[in-house]
Amino acid sequence: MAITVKLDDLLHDNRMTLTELAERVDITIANLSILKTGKAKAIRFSTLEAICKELQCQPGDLLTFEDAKDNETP
Amino acid sequence: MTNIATKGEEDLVLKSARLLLGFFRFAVIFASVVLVLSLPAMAIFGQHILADVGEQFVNPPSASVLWVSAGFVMVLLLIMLLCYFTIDRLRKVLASVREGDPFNRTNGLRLRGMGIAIFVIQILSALLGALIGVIISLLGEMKEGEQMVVSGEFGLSLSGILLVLLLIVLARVFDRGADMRDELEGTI
Repeated sequence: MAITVKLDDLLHDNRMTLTELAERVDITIANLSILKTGKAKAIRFSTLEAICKELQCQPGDLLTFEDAKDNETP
Repeated sequence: MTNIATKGEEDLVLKSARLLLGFFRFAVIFASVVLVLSLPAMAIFGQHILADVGEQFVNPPSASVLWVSAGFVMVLLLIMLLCYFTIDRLRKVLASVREGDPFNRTNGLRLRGMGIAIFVIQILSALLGALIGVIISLLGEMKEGEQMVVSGEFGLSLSGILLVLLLIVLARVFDRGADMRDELEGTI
């Protein structure tokens, strides 16, 4: 998918584990894990808000867009 | 305020529908058994039946009346089987509502199957009407003072066609519902 979730990097920067974040944002570890691995189909604004609040970041820090064409080798 | 039954619960509508479908299922099975038994009975007592019926007509009816009547019974039996198929699918849809998970592709498939079954029933019903016409023409003219009453509606009906359309559209609605549920399941 062209949208990449950088939850791993943000957790590392904040020295936080997935379990800790799950407890703070009140989302199951299973669901956060789906988000982290990029298997989620959509993210709610409320989830985004809670994660950004806990990780002290902007939505753009968590989600990045990579055009598939940019990755193609000439 | 409308009360919608949650998982495992049944409101009055669901309970009534389940009971009614149970009764219809029994009635269809009973009618099918009677029809199946009538076929060998026609073969064994056919000549006696023809002789009895023949007394009411100017000319004694030919044996072909029995063959057409047997065809009539077989078409009726086919209709009963399709009715059973439809009732059974509807019971399963109802069970999925009770279980709390009705918006799935299986139910879409069931509704589509019911729509096709009812469409075939409509066609077969028209065939029954045609067979009755053939039987009446084969029996010929009745004796003076004798009367024959044929009741029932055979053939395509507007309500039947609307029901087929409703089921086919509902099947699409359930397919879309299943897509939306899948999408929602992937939402964090």
